[in-house]
Amino acid sequence: MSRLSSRHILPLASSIPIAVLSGFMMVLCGFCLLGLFGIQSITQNWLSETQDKLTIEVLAYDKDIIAVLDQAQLDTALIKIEKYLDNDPIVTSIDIQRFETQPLIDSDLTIPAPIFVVVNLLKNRIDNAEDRLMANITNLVPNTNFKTIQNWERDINQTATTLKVTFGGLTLCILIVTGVILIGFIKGHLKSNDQTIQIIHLMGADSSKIAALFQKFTFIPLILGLISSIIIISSVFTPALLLIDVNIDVFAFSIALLITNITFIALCQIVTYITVTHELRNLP
Amino acid sequence: MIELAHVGLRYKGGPEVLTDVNLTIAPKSFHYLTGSSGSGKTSLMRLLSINLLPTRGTVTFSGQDIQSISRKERARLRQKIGIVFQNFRLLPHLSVFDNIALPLRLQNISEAKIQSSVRDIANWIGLKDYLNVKPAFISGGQQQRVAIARAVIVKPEILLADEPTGSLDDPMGDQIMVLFEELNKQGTAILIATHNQGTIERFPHPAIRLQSGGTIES
Repeated sequence: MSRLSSRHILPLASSIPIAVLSGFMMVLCGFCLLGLFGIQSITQNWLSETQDKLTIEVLAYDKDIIAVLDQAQLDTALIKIEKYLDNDPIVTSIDIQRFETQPLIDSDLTIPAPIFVVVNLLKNRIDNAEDRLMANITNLVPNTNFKTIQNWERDINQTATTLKVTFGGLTLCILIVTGVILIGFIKGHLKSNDQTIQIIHLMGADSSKIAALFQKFTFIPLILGLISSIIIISSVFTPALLLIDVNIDVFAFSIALLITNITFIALCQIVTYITVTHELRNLP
Repeated sequence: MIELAHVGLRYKGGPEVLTDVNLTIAPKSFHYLTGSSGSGKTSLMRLLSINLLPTRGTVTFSGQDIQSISRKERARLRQKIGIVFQNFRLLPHLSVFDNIALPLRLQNISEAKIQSSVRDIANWIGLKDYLNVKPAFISGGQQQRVAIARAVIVKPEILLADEPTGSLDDPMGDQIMVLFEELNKQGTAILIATHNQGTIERFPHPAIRLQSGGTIES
């Protein structure tokens, strides 16, 4: 069989802009995908790091009467907490984080900053040991807030979800922009090759056959775009991520990248088909 | 083979360019289609080539009403019609060979068959030495021969030619007319739209005269 090739109606060179566009857009898609995988990895790191941690925030004001404490009161509270933590068997170490106090502008009043105590807990601790520790500290120093693993999980997951939605939205935007540009490109080619299309139509090609020719016309540049995007991502972005010590599952990422780009190509092919058949809908 | 009954045609938003056209084109016939400018010759040719559908009346091709069949079936019917244009309409980026082979490729014919068919027809039209040349590098008469070869390579039942000699000088035009007569002898019905009285006199065949408003006079 000798099928009609797209080069018979459209010169292959005129498809170069599609190769450039698709390559660029697929790199952007790959970048978003890397972002998603990076967030996943970072989230897991954060969660594992906070797994056996409890953060105590020694407040700089009295919780009940909302009165600002002075530095001496804050230090006393901290000493009490330290003393307690030294004797609690589930505590392995503590890390105290103090922040600089800044005087208020145009005021003699200096409000001390809260103090954070990061408590590293025993891995094999009994159930409720954490609750007991928090209750005891609250009894000792009422002006305390606690950030438990559950709080951390909630915050980290919230941040991760926001970032994932952002990257997902970006991918969607990339697909939409590509689709719009592709539609314009196809319409332009339909217009500039009006005579050729008329001739093909008169020879017995219906709009779906002409659309199939346009699909062939866009397929090769899309594949070129796919190859170039894979080369760029694997040679630039992935090493960059590894350098900043983000451990992504390279195999899973490669599969996801391939699936994303194949989906990208499939969508471009569908857009091409729909655009051509829609534009030629008035042909008898 | 092609029958038009009470056919009217109106372009979107415009006046009716064809009104009540009744016409029958028999197999293997040879007709001229004449008429003054604006009489609707080109519109009628577009109807006959199933490039337009009538706004009223019926057009029947081999017994099939072209309005009641699907687009795919209409496309299949168009493969039985060869068309030659005044300005040739060859694809400039393709060689003479690829231009002639285009309709065969559209029908998924084997490459071996395409090679032999194109070479046979190139011999017949006297262009066997120009098969690898782009259309821009051959004369107008040769380009029209290529257009004819492209139109008849699929052995159409009817060949429609819209002013095929319009852009050629008389000797070149006559050579083209000889090709049309040969094709007609091989069994292809021919309909040539022309206003060239000289051609009609040198190659006499029945003429269908389209008057303004679309009435037919034989």
